[in-house]
Amino acid sequence: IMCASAKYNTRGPALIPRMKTKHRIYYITLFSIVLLGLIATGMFQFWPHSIESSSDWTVEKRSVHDVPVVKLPADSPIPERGDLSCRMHTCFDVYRCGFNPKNKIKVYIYSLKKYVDEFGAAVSNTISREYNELLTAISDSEFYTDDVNRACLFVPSIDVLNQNVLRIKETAQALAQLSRWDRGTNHLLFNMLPGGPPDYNTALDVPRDRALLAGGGFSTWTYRQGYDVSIPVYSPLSAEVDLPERGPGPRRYFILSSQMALHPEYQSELEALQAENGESVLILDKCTNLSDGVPAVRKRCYKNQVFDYPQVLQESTFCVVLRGARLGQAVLSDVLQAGCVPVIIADSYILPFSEVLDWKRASVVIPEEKMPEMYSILQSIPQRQIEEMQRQARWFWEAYFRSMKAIALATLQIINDRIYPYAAISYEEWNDPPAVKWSSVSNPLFLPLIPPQSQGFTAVVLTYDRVESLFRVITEVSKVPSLSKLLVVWNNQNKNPPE
Amino acid sequence: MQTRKKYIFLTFLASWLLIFFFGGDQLRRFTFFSGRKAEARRNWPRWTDRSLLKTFADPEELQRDGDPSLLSPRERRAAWLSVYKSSRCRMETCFDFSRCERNGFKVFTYPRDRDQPVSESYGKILASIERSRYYTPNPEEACLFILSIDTLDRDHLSAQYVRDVDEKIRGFPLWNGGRNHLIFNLYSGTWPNYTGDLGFDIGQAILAKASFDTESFRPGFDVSIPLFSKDHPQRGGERGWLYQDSVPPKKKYLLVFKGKRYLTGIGSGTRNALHHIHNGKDIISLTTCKHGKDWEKHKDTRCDKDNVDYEKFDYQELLHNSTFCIVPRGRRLGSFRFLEALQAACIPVLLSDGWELPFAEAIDWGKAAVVGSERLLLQIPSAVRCIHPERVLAFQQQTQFLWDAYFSSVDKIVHTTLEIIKDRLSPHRSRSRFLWNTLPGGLLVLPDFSTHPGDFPFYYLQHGSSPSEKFTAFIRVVSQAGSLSQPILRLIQAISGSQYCAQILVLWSCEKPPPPNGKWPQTTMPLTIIQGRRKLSDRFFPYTAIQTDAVLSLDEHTSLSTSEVDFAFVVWRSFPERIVGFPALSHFWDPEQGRWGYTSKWTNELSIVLTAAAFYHRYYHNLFTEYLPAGLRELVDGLAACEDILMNVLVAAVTKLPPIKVTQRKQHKDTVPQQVKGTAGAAGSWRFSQRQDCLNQLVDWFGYMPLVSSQLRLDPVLFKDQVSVLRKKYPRLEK
Repeated sequence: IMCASAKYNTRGPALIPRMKTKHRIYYITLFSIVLLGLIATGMFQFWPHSIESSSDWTVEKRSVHDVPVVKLPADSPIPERGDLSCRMHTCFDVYRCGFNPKNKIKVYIYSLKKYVDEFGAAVSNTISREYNELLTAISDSEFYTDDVNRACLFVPSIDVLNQNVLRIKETAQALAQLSRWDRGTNHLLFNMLPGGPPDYNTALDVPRDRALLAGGGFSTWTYRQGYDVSIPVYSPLSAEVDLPERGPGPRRYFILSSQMALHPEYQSELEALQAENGESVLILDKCTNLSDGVPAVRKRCYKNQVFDYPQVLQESTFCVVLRGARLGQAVLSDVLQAGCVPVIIADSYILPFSEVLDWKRASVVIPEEKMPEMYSILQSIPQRQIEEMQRQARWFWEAYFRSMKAIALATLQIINDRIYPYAAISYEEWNDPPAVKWSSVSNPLFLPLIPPQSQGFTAVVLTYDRVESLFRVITEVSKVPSLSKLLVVWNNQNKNPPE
Repeated sequence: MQTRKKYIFLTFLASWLLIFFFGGDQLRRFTFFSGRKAEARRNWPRWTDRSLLKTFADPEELQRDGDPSLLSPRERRAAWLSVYKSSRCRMETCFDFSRCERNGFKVFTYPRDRDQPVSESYGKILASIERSRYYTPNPEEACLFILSIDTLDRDHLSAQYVRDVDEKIRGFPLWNGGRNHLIFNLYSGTWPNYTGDLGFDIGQAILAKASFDTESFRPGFDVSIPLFSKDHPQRGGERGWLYQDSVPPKKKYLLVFKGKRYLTGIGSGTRNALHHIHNGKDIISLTTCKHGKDWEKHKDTRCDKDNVDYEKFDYQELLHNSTFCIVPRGRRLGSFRFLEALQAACIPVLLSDGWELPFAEAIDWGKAAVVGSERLLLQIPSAVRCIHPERVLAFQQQTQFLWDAYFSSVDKIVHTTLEIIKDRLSPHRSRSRFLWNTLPGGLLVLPDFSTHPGDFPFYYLQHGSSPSEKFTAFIRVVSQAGSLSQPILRLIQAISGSQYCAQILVLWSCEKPPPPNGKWPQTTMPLTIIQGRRKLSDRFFPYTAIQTDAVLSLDEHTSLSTSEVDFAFVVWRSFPERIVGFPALSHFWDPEQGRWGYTSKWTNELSIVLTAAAFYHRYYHNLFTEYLPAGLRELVDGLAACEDILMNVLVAAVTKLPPIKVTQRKQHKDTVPQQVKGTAGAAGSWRFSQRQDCLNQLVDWFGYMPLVSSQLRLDPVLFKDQVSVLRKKYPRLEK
């Protein structure tokens, strides 16, 4: 620094007065050109940001009914059925997701269209409220790109959340005519209610070739581990009802069952439990004599007693989540929201986000055959652990079940972690509730290693100016036989350390 | 003047060019964006009528998800049994849980056939099972069966290949279609495509196999095990190579590979490409074409140069000095390299698409390895370069933890396999992923004790909790007097004076019945007497009466004051996973006799704290009684005064840390030797040699010497300082 300023003093000022007027103008012009160049560069630096921030208010304002209509010819191609052997390394094109410093995949969403068959009849509802929320969440996220050529993952805007409200063959045809379909490679479909009568398949029946499926209600036989993503069945009550978090601790009932239309066999097993253990077990069912105007879904009854649903879930320590016709149940979301520990009785069910979430910390899984032993199994869980499970259950709901946005982002993050495993989110980040994150200590040197004595130690001496006492310390410390190195940190910038 | 002008002009020109050069990128972007400005970023539209959209499913439909026409749950489960067989086996359909309910998780190994010798590795696997606490010689009570036929090497070109397995199996009356059987396999398939074929029908048996591919792996049913060599130690095992944490954790090389390159056939694609990332500086990737008999036939243009480079580096040296190690697939998906890198704390970079990683059901590999993609080899260097040093440090430590917890010996590999299967039997009593992936590892955490991390001594820091504030005093009485001696009365008085004491338990291990209630000293502390079975190992039985986290273990002759107990307990609360106590011994290697010795002389080191006066976590009672095999406890019962050495060895094996000694006012008298001294010196030395024997037998069982030495003693802060006694918290310690 000193050298530079000296130069400036001797030569800089002496230069200007000696110049002639003609030259001066010449120089001023040159200067201004350079200055302009600088300003322009500076402006360009900021330009792109201003464009991005303005994008929020340049989004289209249209009605869903105005979207273009696509007619599907009866003979348009149908994709092959899902391939059960698909894995990331066989069916996914990683080359689309290049190495990038952010380690984020780019997700493209197809624009919304309305599909009709040859006769003009709609293939499905154009889009449901939940799927719209999900696509909005993806579009607002860091993953989104509007450039189809840079995308790594494609999300069709064709809504397949509920298989019962769509026409299977025509939906498949609609998928196949997507511009980048290519046998479904790198396409992601979201489905929450798969299957239908009579056999209720546990995965979406729409032929989808190699597309990834984010499905609610996978069984171990349809779930392609490491390829599909198991997601929860969203419960619209989450948005409707505000259940404040209830502190963990003992509650009025021990076991509660709130599902309606349970299979009579389950029903009788639950009743047997109730008969054995009395009032701590509560089995609710549909109310038969409700006055008009009261939504049936918000009430549950036991004999003549009427309970508010889902509020009643907060009154119980454990809440039973049994399989219905399908494996995935929306009640799981309600139960978690209430901070009630779910007791999951659904053999072969792949729990939501099981690839990353440690469900043993938030739930109890009991094989269907062991239902009669449920009470004693639950009793054997220590109170401290129950409290922790209650907290954990609520945390899972808040982080991953609460909204379609939470579900969408968790799904994309899981896929992202598979593609950039070295930048993946850790177990702790997925599973530890904020309370644990604050109170716990993660030791960066966690391995109990005892450094070998032979290595000795390094002495680090901080000093500013007091050379004398520094020398004394050095002399003393250097007498220690196990000293291997002495490091002096000289903190005085104005003075050089003594030679 | 003229030259100066020229210079100035040139400077301006240069700076102008520079600005263009650096700003050009922005300029280009500007034109790019201005072209797209009109359409902006097309986000998903905010539909004007989005609030009117229908919900995806009627709420009623969501909550009433039943169909009476469906099969009943029981019928459905029965139907599954016939549908989901062989390649679609799951525990629900192919495993008979009822066998395990009667007698718990017991493992039976078929009797070995003398005419049919098994390979060294399979012999070790069988020995591991027979050494485990789950072993039963009785097939009636078994839950899991293991064949005596060597199924490790199913490459029919191999010398170890056993023929006609199908026929032999059919001859076993216990086979039962393979139900509840566990089959171990290391090599399957053969040249040229090395499929997963085993050459016999495994039926409904669980397969524990190395190099498992995700497609044929039956999730939740099979177990993927690591490939290990026949020299892999039976027990104990070598420790990892990371002796200290170096910060920053980067080593000389960033990424290394040294190994064979297949010129043709399966797996050659990956290995043939490896030379592309070699840069000769921090990335060393060396391949040789030399393998097999006829490599020269297939030799390509690179071979000669590669072979020369190959000889320039030493594999061991590379392992020691590299941060990351490439573990590519070989002919099969897994390779020896995986365990080698893990032990060397060289973070494995896996290039083996579709490999179901060993024990992935339990182990979170994302914390210890980089799972790369064979297709993206060229991205690997930049990807690993971008990993932050703190993450590298965590990776390195995790490799060492996993190596030591699950892989370093055949015992550990086999026991991990068994524990994974056992965990499936009762999902509600199984280890969470947290327990599997945190020190000290799943094998040392017994879910039968608790599944809650807060109940174990190991997780207080991560869990953000602390051990309970009270302790249980546990006094063992063995004297034959039948009445209460003076020392025990004094001891009870001293302990009941402690503010942290919750209760006193007395283990009465004498022939004579304990004195009636009235004879015991009257204290406010609850006092319980437990009648023992007069075995030495009784002292570490997990009595349900012990409800506090801390146990203060005492002998009847121990003499302690209240201050000593209080201070020791405060220390223990800071080190809940260790033994904290008073009298200490140390062990040493006796080179003359070639065995371990121990000494109670006053030395400057300690590695054993006698349980005659020590605090430890009550979980160690469970580990002692349930984790250690019965044989070891019998050994302890047979020898005099060996149980406290075993306890110390156990705790040291679990924590890898030495015990802690705290301030003691009086000299603790190891009273028994004194008694013996009075009677006969020979008896004293007999006892000494028994303890020495015990130590050596324990080392033999563990396979290494777990004890760790320490030179540390903890004193209260103002202990023996020249300040007023009134300032001191434990003034009585100095009297």
